[in-house]
Amino acid sequence: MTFIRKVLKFIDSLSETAGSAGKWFALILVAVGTYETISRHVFGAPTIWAYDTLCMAGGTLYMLGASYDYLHNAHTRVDLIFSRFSIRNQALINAVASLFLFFPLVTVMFWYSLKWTIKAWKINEVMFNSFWYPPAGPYRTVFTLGLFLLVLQGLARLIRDLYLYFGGTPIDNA
Amino acid sequence: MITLNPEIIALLMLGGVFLLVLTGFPIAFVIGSVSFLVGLAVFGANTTFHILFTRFYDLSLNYPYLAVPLFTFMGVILQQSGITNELYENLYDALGRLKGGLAIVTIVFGTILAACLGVIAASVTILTLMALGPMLNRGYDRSIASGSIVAAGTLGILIPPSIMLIVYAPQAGLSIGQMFMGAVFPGLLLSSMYIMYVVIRCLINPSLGPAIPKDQMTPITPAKILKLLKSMLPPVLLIAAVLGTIFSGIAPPTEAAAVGCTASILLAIAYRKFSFKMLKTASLETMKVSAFVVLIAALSYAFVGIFMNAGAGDVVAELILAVPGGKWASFAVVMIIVFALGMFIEWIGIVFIVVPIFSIIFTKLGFDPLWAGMMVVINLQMAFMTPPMAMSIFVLKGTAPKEYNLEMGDIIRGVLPFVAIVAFVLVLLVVFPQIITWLPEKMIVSVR
Repeated sequence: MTFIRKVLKFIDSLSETAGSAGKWFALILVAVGTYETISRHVFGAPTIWAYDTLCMAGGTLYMLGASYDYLHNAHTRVDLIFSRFSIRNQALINAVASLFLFFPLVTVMFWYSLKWTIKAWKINEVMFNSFWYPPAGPYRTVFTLGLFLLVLQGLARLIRDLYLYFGGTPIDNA
Repeated sequence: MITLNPEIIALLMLGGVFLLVLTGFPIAFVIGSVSFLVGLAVFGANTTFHILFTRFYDLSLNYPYLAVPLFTFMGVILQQSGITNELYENLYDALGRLKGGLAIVTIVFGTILAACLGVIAASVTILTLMALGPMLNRGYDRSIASGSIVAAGTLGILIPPSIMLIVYAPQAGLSIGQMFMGAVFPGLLLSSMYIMYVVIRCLINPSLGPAIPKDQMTPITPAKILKLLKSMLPPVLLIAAVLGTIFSGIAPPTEAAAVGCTASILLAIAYRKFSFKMLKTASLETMKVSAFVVLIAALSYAFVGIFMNAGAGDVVAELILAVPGGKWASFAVVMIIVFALGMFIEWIGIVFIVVPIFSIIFTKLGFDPLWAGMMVVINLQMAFMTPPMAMSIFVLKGTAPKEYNLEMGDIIRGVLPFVAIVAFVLVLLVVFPQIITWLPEKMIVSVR
């Protein structure tokens, strides 16, 4: 059990790290957005890189936030009926639901994203959203990493839910 | 692969989401998984994976949606800089002397807050923490107090810059700026009708909202009025500048929002409230909110990809168009569906799933898409206040300090008249559509 507990803590710390690194991309959005607006409208000199930089910073913010939100239970739920069950039954419902509504979808997305990322690096794929043509590899890597952390955090939650249901106490308490 | 006719697919997907969100599992994954499973059955693995992944990936890089994190960031900074506290205190001082004055303060404050913040949960939370105590301590009726908090807080999703409008507009092929402008007058109309309602109730029965006793009143001096204006000016001016930039076509919402964030940081510095910790909190909060909003958005976008490709959208559209009684009957059915969904499902999912389908209907029936969109948004904000499933009420109940013993019955009694006001305003907007369309029409054509 101590081993499992350590693994769970490790997964948590990965999501925490992703979140505390990812949050700074909000500041990048503010800084780049302001810089671009001023340089375009005040100095008449739009940058070629701001558009893609902003989009990628936004994407990084969301994807690194995804597992952080999962860890902190910040994804919205309709908990009207859910919240009336006992903690143990909530854990059971959540575990069963995640087997059908979480893992198939998120694992496939991760696997597909991984394929796309490897392809992007192999053929030096670029993005076609602007005339800047930045390489697609780095952002795809972050996107894949975000999904990978989400799968891991989902597994951690599943183990916690199962332990709570069968053992009656949260695994982190012991 | 199995061949299912579109009717069955529509039923499976909409019914599936509706039932499965009740398991309490995070909505984003429920919506994504329903489309995943139905897609597998209908289109097979390759096509489904491709549709889902590309839509998810594309949405993560969407430019207009960057306004979601940016306006969230701006709101958190404004709120943390203490500007809002000062504003509340000054409003309290100026209007507390009137009968029902503190309820008016709550609504005026909520309206300004709505313009600063884009998420209702945030507005209702702040209003509950700041305005509930003062009202109840002054002997205000619990229902009036909680009703005005819920109603004013829910304005947050309507009054621009609101995240719902940012999410809605691209789905309906409208510009975000146009949508913002369309919401200005309906929002102000709602807020002034709320105030009128409170004033009339308290004039008839002063015990509902007693004024500050004469001996505790401080005289109004010019210095005081100046102080009130001074505290109102920065947030109002900031929002006006951001919206003005969008209105005049100088910059699109994403850029206006970024500059608004920088301006709010400068304001915080001017108020001597700025700290490194504040930037950290604002960034973290921004990530937390935008990650779940965009995840629901992205997976709902994937859902719509499967739904539309399977022909289910046309089925629903035909069904609603076939309602007897002409175009207004079909419109009424759309509004009832939106209202019913709004009581159960998170709005982001509703906007994404419902808007592409209903846009077909609005176009076929010849409704102005901007007007129809605004009706949907106002309708949703009514749904958030209507029991049994009212997000705003839950937030109030969850945030209210225990010592006030606020009962669900008190809150619901207080909220229902405000729901009636929103319904009345919806009727007004049918009769006078110009309230919505006038301002957007004045915008520079190129930015519309």
